[in-house]
Amino acid sequence: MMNVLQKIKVLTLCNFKNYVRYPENFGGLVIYIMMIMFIGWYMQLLTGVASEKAFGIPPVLYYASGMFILLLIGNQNTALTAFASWRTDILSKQVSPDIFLLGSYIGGLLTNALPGISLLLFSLIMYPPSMSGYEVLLLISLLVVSFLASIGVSYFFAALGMRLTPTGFVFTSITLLITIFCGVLVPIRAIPGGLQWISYAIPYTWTIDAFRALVLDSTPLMPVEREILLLLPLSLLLIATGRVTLYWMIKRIKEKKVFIR
Amino acid sequence: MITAKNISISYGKHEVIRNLSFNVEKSEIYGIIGPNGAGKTTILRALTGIILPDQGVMSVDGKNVVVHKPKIAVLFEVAMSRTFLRITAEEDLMFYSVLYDVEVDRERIKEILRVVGLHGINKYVYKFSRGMWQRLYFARVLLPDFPVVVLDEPWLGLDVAAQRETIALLKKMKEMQKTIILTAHEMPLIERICDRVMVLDKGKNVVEGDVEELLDRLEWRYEVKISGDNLKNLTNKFKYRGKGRYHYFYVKNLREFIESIDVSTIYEIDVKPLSLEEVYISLLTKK
Repeated sequence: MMNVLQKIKVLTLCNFKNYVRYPENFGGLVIYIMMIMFIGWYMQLLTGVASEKAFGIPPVLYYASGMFILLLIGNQNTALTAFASWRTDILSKQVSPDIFLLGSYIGGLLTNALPGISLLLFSLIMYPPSMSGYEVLLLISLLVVSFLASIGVSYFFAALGMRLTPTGFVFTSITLLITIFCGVLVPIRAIPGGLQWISYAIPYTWTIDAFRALVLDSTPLMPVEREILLLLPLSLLLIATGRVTLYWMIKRIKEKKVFIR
Repeated sequence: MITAKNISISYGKHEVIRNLSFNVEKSEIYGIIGPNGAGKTTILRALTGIILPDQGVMSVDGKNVVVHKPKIAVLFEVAMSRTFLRITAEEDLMFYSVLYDVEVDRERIKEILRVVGLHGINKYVYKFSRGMWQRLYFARVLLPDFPVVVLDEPWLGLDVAAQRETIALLKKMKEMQKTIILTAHEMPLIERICDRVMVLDKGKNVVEGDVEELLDRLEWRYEVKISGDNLKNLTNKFKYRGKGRYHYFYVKNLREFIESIDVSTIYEIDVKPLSLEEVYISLLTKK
């Protein structure tokens, strides 16, 4: 167990160190935060008090909280790029794909989530939340099951990374679709009824919704406890099917010789 | 140590390896040469488990590589863009310890860096020269201390100095009792370092053996450039080509040639032994 944890730690630190040593990453982070702030500020200007009625919370917080959660848990692209970059090593060396995925995931969490964490801290300082002990417990449970769901999604993206180049428009499109439908930019209630099922199928939707309800007192789609209970089996299902998909993909690449460098 | 029996591999309908068999002995450096598309890298991919052969069995120490993932340290051509660039060589080897599923041992990593001459260099790997990158690649394959090492094109794009460093590192690996199997196009280097060589063409083993055995397959072994008198009588006995004031003879047995000439009539003589490159060209052009 210690050995496994040490390996995950090494993978995590390599990802983290490699990220923070690029000064341009911090420039991008600042631009990113400013962009989100600008959207929130502009929306508030545009809609005034009405926007709060539409979102249930001030627009700046609406976007900031959504982006924070999406950046924190929507970490699937890390698995995609990691598995695409080291696919030869994963196929030819002894590393367990599970350990590699977890190490890359946590590494990505510490790097990709940095803009989101900064964003949320900024927003919470502006609008300090008041939460009961029970709500804190619910929040912790929510984050745990959300990370599990995210790891499950990452397994699918890792399988894609083994087979395809990560620069294709397919992945940008998938990320864009997730961003649109998970409620970060558009409230779920504002999405046409016929398309809302897409939002409900994305695990991040429930995390973002429950997070806003717990921290910002917005009106959730259903009681937060039910959202967490819904996320738990969904997460486990995603991990199980995602893992099977990744191992199937590795086997298929070997058998069909569809390896790409 | 490494055995391949009747291996056939196809990419779709295109058969790349056809009924190929070979053996590599323990602590041997075994070179696979052949034109582009001959199937050299495919063999290494099958051996390291990246792809599975359609037919035949590959085994390391008697264990089928398909059933038991073999402990092989492997170096395929690496694109610099696909690695962490802002980490040090030591951190890179820690990362590779995880990839090889071996203990992350800082002392061993320092020892390996000392062996390849990268110890104490704290710059990020993106600042490395091509030669330093190559040393880092060798450090990666030495790291897990596996008995078998597979190297795909280890001299690709290296200048002469870096090639010489690589040869020295390969010799060190041989001293460590590693069994090394490599592919390359650089014939003089293959000739210098490999114990045995297989010439592969269109997925078939054209010829296999140590360099001397392969050279023996040539019609002649030496090109003798000579100027002097009374040499015409040799043209019936040895393959001959005249060019200006020099005569060129192509001989298999140098002693026999020397004994055939009257040394007192010779002004100048230069003997050039033929190389693996000539064997390679002759084999492929014959085909």
